[in-house]
Amino acid sequence: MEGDRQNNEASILLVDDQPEITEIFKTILEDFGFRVFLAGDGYEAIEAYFRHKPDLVLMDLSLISVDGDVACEKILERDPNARIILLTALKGDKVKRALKAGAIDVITKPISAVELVKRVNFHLKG
Amino acid sequence: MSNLTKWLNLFPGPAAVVADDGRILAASKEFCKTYIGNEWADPTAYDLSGLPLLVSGEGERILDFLEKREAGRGSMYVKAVKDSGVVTHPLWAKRVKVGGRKAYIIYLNTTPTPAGLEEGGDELRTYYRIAESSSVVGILYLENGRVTFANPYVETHMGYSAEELQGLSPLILFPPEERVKVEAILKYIEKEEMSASQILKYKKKSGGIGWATFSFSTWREEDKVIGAIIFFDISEKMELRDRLEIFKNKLQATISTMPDIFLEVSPEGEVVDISAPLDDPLYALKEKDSEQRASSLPPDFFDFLQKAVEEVQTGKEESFIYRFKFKGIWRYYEAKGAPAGKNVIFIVRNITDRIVMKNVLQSVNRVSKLLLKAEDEKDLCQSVVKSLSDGDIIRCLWIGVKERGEWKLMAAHPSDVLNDLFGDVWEKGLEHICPHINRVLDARKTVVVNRLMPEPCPHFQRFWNYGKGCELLLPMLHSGEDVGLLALFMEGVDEPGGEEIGILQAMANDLAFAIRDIEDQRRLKIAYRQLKENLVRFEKIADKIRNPLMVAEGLNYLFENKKIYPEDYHRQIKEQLKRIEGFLDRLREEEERSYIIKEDLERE
Repeated sequence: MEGDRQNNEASILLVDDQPEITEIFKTILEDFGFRVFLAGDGYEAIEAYFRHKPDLVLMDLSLISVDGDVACEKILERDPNARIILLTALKGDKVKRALKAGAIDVITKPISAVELVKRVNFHLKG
Repeated sequence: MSNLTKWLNLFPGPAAVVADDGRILAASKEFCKTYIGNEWADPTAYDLSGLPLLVSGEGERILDFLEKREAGRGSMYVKAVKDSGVVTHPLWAKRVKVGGRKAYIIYLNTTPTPAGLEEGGDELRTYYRIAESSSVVGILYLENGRVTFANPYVETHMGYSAEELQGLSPLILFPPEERVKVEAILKYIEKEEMSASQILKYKKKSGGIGWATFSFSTWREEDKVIGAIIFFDISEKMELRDRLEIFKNKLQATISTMPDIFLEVSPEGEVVDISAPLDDPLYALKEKDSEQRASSLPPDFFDFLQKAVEEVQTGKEESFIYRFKFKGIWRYYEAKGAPAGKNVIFIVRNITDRIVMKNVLQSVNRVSKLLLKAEDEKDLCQSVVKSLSDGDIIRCLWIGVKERGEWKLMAAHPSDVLNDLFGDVWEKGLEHICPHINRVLDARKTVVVNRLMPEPCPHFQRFWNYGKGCELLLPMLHSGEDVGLLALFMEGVDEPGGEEIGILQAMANDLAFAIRDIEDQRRLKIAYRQLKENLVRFEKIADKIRNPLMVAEGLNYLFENKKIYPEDYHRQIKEQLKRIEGFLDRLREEEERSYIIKEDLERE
């Protein structure tokens, strides 16, 4: 884990409507050396993605106004190379829609900080 | 011709039945010819004193004879005019009752009196004596029901000699199936009463069966009743009749397997020859008058014929289907043509029934699809009515459904809607428009109402004038319950076949099932929607409950790595636990809601 923390220069966009989650996991991800941008709903996520062009997006699906699956579609429509990991407990149509649009993984909440970073690194290296 | 006249015609000479006032009630042709001068004259227009060819005063003399002397016991001579001269005919008479009135049978012998017979003898006896040696008619005399004499004609036709028959009952001359009739005749003879002549089978000595016309007479001779049977063999005629019957049956069988109509058409489209059944619209082509012919068939028919002839002659096409409206009903014909010189001979088949049933069955198929999609009983019934009404076959129909024991008209053919069928039903009840409703439900099967049945449904009456047609009343049954009734008027078909009725009845039962199913489905759909909504709520709550757990995971990491003060860590963990408790309460509410839905479904 120490290695992970030193070598990470990648940027991550963390999208969740729960401020506690975004704040806590921003601290944790930054602790591992990632540059972290935050968004609280789908609109903000789309805007932040095209402003910062992060290497990876961690996207919650149940968001206020525009949901995560719609945001996924919009981002991947314009940038098919975008790497989006879904961060959710849902299993229904929204997950299917996002995966169909091109999301690369689904992480089921809750997940430990260490486990989350491992999955992030896996996709960044891939 | 009355039976009495037929009987009188069997007499070998002029014979008549005369009322006691001299009116002639009936007479044989021979009588009319001899005394009126015309065998076709109506004898009832005359009385004895007015017969043109009787010498003046003879009619009155006959009446006097009939009144004063005991008829049947003796005879008189009557003078008549013949070939500008006067001839004398012996007359025999017998008293009878006709329609309760006193009357006489008179018989006159116009054959020359043979030598040896004394004047004034019994003339009927005289006649029989002449016939005794005849080979033209058969004579049998009976005394006390036994044969005393048979002439040579009997032996020629029946095979028995006079000696063989002597003393036997004439019953042996008849097969068992005729014996009842013969016994009745023998009783008439015994009572000296008259009996009409009859055609009977007789049994030959060889065992063979012949046919003959039998007539019967009686007279008294020395206080004995003499019965006489006179017969004329008609076996050949009857055999011919049987052969004709067999031939007719064979012909009918052959014709029934043959195409309906042969039609020969010239290159100009003119009908050269046609064989069409009388009840077929194409029979009009037999009309010699071309204007009448043209007025009975549509104007394009002859163009069609001309074109068809051309196509057959050029080898383009040999099979055609033509339809036209006759008395408001579509008729369909299938014609197959073959060249015959310049003309073309078509074998034409009326396929109206086939097309009608095909169309109806297609409608039934469409209805089956509707049943699967139906969401509402009324919409379903209206769609079914609409689907069945498409086309020209089902001219009228309605669907009634029983709801809580009350009949309700659910849908009706557009023409019935215009005729205010709904108003009629609302005012007078469904029984008013369908008098057979209870009969149909009792029978629990399709009832076909045609023009032979009393009380066709009143609002279908208007269709009976168009020719072929029938009403079908189809009970809609589901799980032993009467769900409703589907009534329709089908035009162009007198009565559908059993298979077609079966299909229509199955459709009515499917409709009953769909109506009942719609109600069940509606309840299920509501429950399903509620459950689905609950599931989504569950999922959302489950998602939400994971957020505090996720926060807790993050806080643990920060606490373990000393990046958060312990008191902040504990406070925030407690906050997250409270949030979790709140979500658990909401989960319990959803669980209760789902339980209620489940209970409802199980109760249904």
